[in-house]
Amino acid sequence: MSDEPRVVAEGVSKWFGALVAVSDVSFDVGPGVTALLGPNGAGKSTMFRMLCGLAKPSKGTVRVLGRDPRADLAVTRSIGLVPQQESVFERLSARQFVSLTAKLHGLREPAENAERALETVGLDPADPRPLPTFSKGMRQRVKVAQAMVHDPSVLVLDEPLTGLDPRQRADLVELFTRLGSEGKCVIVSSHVLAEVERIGSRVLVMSRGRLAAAGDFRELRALMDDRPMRVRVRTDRPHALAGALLEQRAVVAVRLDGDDVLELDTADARALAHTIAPVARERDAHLYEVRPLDADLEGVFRYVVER
Amino acid sequence: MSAVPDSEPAFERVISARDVTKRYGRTVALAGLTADIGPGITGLLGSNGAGKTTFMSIVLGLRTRDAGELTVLGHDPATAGIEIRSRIGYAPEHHDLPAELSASDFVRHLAEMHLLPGRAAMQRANEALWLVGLGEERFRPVGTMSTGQRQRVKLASAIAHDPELVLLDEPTDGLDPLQRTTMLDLIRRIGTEFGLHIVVSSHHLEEVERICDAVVIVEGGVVVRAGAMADVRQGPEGLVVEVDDRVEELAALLREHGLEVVVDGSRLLLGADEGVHDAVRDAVAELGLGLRRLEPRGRTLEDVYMGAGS
Amino acid sequence: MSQAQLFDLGYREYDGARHRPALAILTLALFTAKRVLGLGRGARHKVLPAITLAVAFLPALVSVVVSVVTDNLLEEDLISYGEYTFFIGSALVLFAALVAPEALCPDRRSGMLGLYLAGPLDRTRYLAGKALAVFGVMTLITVSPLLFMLLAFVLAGYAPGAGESVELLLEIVASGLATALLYASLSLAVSSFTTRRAAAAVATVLLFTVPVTVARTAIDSADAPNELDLMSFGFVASELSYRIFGETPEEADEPISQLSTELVAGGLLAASVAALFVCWLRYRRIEAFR
Repeated sequence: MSDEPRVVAEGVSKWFGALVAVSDVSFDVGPGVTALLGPNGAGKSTMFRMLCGLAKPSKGTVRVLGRDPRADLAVTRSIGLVPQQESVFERLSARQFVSLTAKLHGLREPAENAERALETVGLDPADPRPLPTFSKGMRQRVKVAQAMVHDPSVLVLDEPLTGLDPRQRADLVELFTRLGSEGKCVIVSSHVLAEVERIGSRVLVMSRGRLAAAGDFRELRALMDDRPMRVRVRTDRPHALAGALLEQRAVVAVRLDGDDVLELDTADARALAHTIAPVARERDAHLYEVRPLDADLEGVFRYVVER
Repeated sequence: MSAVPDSEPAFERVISARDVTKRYGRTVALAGLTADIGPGITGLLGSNGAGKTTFMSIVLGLRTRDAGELTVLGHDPATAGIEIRSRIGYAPEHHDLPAELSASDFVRHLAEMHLLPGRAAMQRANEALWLVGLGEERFRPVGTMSTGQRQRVKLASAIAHDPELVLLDEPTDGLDPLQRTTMLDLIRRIGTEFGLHIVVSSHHLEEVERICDAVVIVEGGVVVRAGAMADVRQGPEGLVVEVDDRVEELAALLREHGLEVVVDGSRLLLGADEGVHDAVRDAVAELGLGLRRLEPRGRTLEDVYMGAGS
Repeated sequence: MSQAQLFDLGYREYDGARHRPALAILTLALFTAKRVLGLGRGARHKVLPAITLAVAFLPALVSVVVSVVTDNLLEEDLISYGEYTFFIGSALVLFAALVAPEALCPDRRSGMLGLYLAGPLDRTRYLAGKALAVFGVMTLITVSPLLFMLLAFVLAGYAPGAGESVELLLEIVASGLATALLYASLSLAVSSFTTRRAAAAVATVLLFTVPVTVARTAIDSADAPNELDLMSFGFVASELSYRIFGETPEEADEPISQLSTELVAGGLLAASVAALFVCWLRYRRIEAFR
């Protein structure tokens, strides 16, 4: 068995009475950063709880580092969770709170580890103020510090950036990316796709309790073959260029927008990419802009979720 | 609606602040904030604790400033707070709405509380809820609603009484990606089609960039950058090029033609020199490469934000 | 129809009339009054107010029925106007403990107070609206049973002559307003200290039961002055009621009965004003924005 950190779900389902929250989900997540995406109510939080052993699958298995996080408490020491709900904080300071978690994990130097974790998330360990007085963003960072204090090899973060300002977000995104490149298995859920794109390109998309897509989102885009790719082109000779591209069979539809903009639909993005420059040169058309319109994560997300 | 540049002082601003100061004990929350906001949709950005919330509460007349001048919709909030607040719609950041009231009753009540006569309040509340896309759900208690629905209820309650200015605090908080797009489009519509002035306070720079005409960045209790979106982002123009492969070859060929090229991963960054577009087009064609992206590269709002206030 | 037309269903500007800002106080008062009585809410929110109101009406109803049935044989009211307030004292306390917490506490628990203050209200106006609602609803329970009794007797022909009846009417209103003022103010003050309705309700009941025990024990055993009985709030109201109707309680041996009418009225007023002031102070300090 490889000792790379891994999280494996096999045929996992979870229902609450008649409500099926998660339905037959299987995936295998290794080191690096993987984003878990999905509309609200898709079952992401329930899935997270099962990954950390906080909930039991109604069916199927979850294995973290080869073991069942519910049965094997030792493996929970290798997991860090940032839950989405507002935790009820006692009147402890950040340092006390994180040290407490460190002690619960059996660390030998809880205070030092707590300080280090707090500094990593950009908080001052010496701040004596009690947590309930902290702003939402600060409480959020304390949660992340608490999840990291025991240096787990698997980190599960449910909406970790809520309430944070842009700088704080950027800092944490950098932190997660770094942890991923250090070989940790980081699973993050977020609704801000622009950020997710920055953290990494591996995604798991859940929709209506099921797994709708898995893998690198750029590759996923290529798989969306029943959807033509849309590309926006700005040129000084739109009609000539459009006509030539149509003749070359590089596009299936063309829309003219204003004096200089073309929106092209293509069934073969690769072919279009190879055709457009030579054709433009041939027709003496300047190319001011070539921009794919839905190849980003949001385009993929929309497609996957709306099927 | 686009923002008017500062060089036209005759145009009436929605919010006009000069050297506004506010202290809480020894903490200085606002240290001489100067800004002109509106008309149109303005984004209010800043770190947590930078003074945004304090500024908004002073604009609403809920706290008094220690010094400086402030005009909101033509009035001073220190003396005409009530008048100002009757003309403002506000959607707070928190999702704490009275659980028992139906969305319909809630929006209607707030419209009435904003001085609309009973029948008018009922009609406008009804319309506002349709506009934000809440149909049958409007009769359900707010406590049973999802975050996405609550955000829309808040928005409806902010516009139902036809205010002159709408303040939205983190309107996309808790929404999933598709709901965010819908909400942003809705806000954009409200600001452009409906003609209401809007101030959006948000931590999501791409979203602000998407819908706002102008932006005000607050840091350390002062405004560090402000202006129309286009102006604020002005910077060295350039070109971003993405090709399928053989990036270095392309770079080399372009350099042979005398262009300055920087390779950034799978992308090339070029300066906005004369004839650069044609040079790229021809080089790509000559090498038989797949051209994926060719875009002007201005500064993003993120570049501006991270650079400001440091 | 002459020409085809497409109608614009988009946003419409509102050019119609708008109220003066001060009217927001009234709007709030009416809305609050309806909600505390359970109107516009599910049936279960109407139960307690309805029961309490029914209990408050019961003596009046019985009195009227008995008089009608016996054809006023007794020639003496089963229950006099003056002693009515004393009679339904418990119902009044319960009603106040029900209404004021319901008026004040939920707004602080949810984010509603912040939303109100972000409109054309300030804290003072907000409280004015709430106080008006609670006072108005209390007046309902203090005045209407007596009004009903008077009306019934007038219709049945048992009432005294027109002149006296008008005098009685004025006295009913005066007594009802005074009682309502005291109960409303005290329960509002209590409710400004906690966001939990149940706690506020219990505390209100305690406010009407504990001080009276303390005061009377002190007066009986420790020879404290009779004026201390002005802390027995329920009795202050009922005693003033007696005085207004020109009656004296049957066993006029309570300490409060020994005090002059001016003192009793003054005590009621002072307690009410003090309570409202406390309420106002509390609300000035509440942090309503998150």
